[in-house]
Amino acid sequence: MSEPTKENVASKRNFRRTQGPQNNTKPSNDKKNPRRKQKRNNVPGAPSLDTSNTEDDSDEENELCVICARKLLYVSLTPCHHKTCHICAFRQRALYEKRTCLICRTENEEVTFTDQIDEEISDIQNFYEKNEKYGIKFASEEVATATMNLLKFFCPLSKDEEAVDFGSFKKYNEHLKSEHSRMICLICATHKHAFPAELEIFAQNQLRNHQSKGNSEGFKGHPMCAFCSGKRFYSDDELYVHMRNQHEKCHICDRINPTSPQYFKDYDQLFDHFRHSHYVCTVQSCLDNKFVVFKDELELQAHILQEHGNILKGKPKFFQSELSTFISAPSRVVRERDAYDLPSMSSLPGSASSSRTNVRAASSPEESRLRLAERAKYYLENSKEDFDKFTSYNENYAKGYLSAEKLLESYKLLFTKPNADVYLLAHNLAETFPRNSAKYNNLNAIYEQREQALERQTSLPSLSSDPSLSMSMARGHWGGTNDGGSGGAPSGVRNIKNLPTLKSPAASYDPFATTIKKQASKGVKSSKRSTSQPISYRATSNNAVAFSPTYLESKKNSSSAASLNNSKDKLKTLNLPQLPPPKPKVQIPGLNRPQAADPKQWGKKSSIENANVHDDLKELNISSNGGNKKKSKQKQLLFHIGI
Amino acid sequence: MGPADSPYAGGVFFLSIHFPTDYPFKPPKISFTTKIYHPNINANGNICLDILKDQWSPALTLSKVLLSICSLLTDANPDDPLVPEIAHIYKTDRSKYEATAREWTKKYAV
Repeated sequence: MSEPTKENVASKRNFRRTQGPQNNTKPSNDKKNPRRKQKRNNVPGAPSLDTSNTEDDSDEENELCVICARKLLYVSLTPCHHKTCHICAFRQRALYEKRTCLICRTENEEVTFTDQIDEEISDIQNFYEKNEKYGIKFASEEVATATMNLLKFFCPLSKDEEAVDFGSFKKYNEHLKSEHSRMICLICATHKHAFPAELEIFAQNQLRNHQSKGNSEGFKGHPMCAFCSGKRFYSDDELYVHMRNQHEKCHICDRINPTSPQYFKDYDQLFDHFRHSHYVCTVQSCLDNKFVVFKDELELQAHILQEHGNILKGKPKFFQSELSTFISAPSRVVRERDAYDLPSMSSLPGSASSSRTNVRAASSPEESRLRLAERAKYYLENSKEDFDKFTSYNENYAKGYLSAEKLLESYKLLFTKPNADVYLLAHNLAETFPRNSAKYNNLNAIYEQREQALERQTSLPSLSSDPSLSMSMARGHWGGTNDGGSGGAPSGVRNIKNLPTLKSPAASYDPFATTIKKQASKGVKSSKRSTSQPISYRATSNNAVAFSPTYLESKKNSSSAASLNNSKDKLKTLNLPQLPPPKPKVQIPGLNRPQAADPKQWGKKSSIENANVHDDLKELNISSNGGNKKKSKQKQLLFHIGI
Repeated sequence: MGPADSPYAGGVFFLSIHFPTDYPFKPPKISFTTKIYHPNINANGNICLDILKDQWSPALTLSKVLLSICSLLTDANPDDPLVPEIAHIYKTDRSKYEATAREWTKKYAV
């Protein structure tokens, strides 16, 4: 039988969860028929285990503990039929004081420690001794002594014949200090869950190094509390518990930036911090409550209105003077806002993602390199040979022997897996070069081209199925045309509309903008929703009419690349997401307003081509402009966001 | 690599793995260093996964843990969320969740 099958069977039998033994731990056979291992080959119903037995027998010498990977000398056998070395099992039961199986987490009242490492738990009927405290039955005296000796404090440096058990870490340490000028790390002693003999013995300066710097094996020393001088903790976890219990954390700062919590020694320091950096309610009852504090003035005022309305009512003047005392520290407010930008992105992912759609997170070249390598390995299924080829291609590109196009062709030949995306690889490779270098630009241009092509393919069909996605797509798309400077759009005009009207001459814009303003005040009142809106334009201003067709044409031109056969309706839906920035403020009342249709306008409706499309676009423009009293200012703002 | 049948497909996510001194009796500390939009992974990259906390077993290996994390990406657990907002979206508007997750993947992990 093959190796995997054996493991499968073993894990199915023994483990309900995912974890099974990694190496050749023997699967248990029928519990009710205890047999010696020689006879096990005859156990019916488990033919696949036969090979494993012979294998186990052959490399029995090397059988290792699944937990610590040390060679098994004595073993612990559990009723759940798992086997570990006696040290791991004893550590769990004596030092961690847990009775759960190390492998499957079953609670076992009793386990058996034996030197017969191939025994089954049910094979052992005679016990030398039973330890009630730890729930361990020892099969022999040797095992019992070896196990219990793990807990004893023998000095490894003393050469005395009779070993002395010092009984505690403290006494052991005292002995080491007085007799050998050595010591153990008492922090490790209490937290490491190590047996006394496992603890490293240090000279004085070694201990200092151990505690402050750690070692080369990844241990970084015991962290120290910045407030309690010299007090060190076993690990960050213990330090964190200490900080939480003994010191004060600023919950406001925590909310602003959860990654770097601000701690203060005690309430007094915390209060100082609150006063300097945040907004404390200075009403006595709130001061007594320790503390009522807010992130910004607005929250504080809301609190005051809600909780202390009576104070405000009774003696408003007095209170105002009080207000002025705690609204201070503008510098901090600025800092807060700066700090807030970053975490707000993470804490409010939804909102952030939409506003930052077009901004790509910049990653360091190092990370890009790693990402490139990981992606290539994954696509190549970890083939060393292919990966070397891949690396050489990249080197050739870096040295300038290969052009970006050639590189991509080589990639296409190398990465044959269907899910392999060579464009992404090119993109990752590009990011390993400095921004705006020729190598970066060449590669990235290929990637961007493909991205745009993909976007064009996907953005239109996706409109119907997923509005949120299509919205970002559409925005990205139009943003792209803006940046491309496709038309002769002067920069001043850009501010007016970020609609895809860039191609049309600027002249048609200014009249439009002004007419809209005029029109908005009049026309919107009567019927915003009315589909005959364009006619009212025609009646009042020729410019507006002149504009409309241009507008639509340019619209069509730019989108025709994506799909020529799109109906007007689709265009309409495509446009809708384009406009939302100005929309929400004023459109809603417009929509709900009863349609006070002007009979004249209704009548003319049929004479206009593409009326629907015009109308909807217009209507949005009007409603957005019409509602804003300070049109020009607000408009400008809106477009900065949009672009 | 993000699992193929998830919105994280195509992304390369980096993890930081820290082994405490008492590993394997204590679980390794694993966190995402690449930003990811997931109900069980917060902005700091912390992962809410039972086997990394109380359900840890010393017999678990790193490859099994990583496999569990992969499957967490495919099947999030919105009933035990670390980021309630994402969990809410996950439960109420799955397509929006997937769109955002894809967008974040593209933004941070591609």
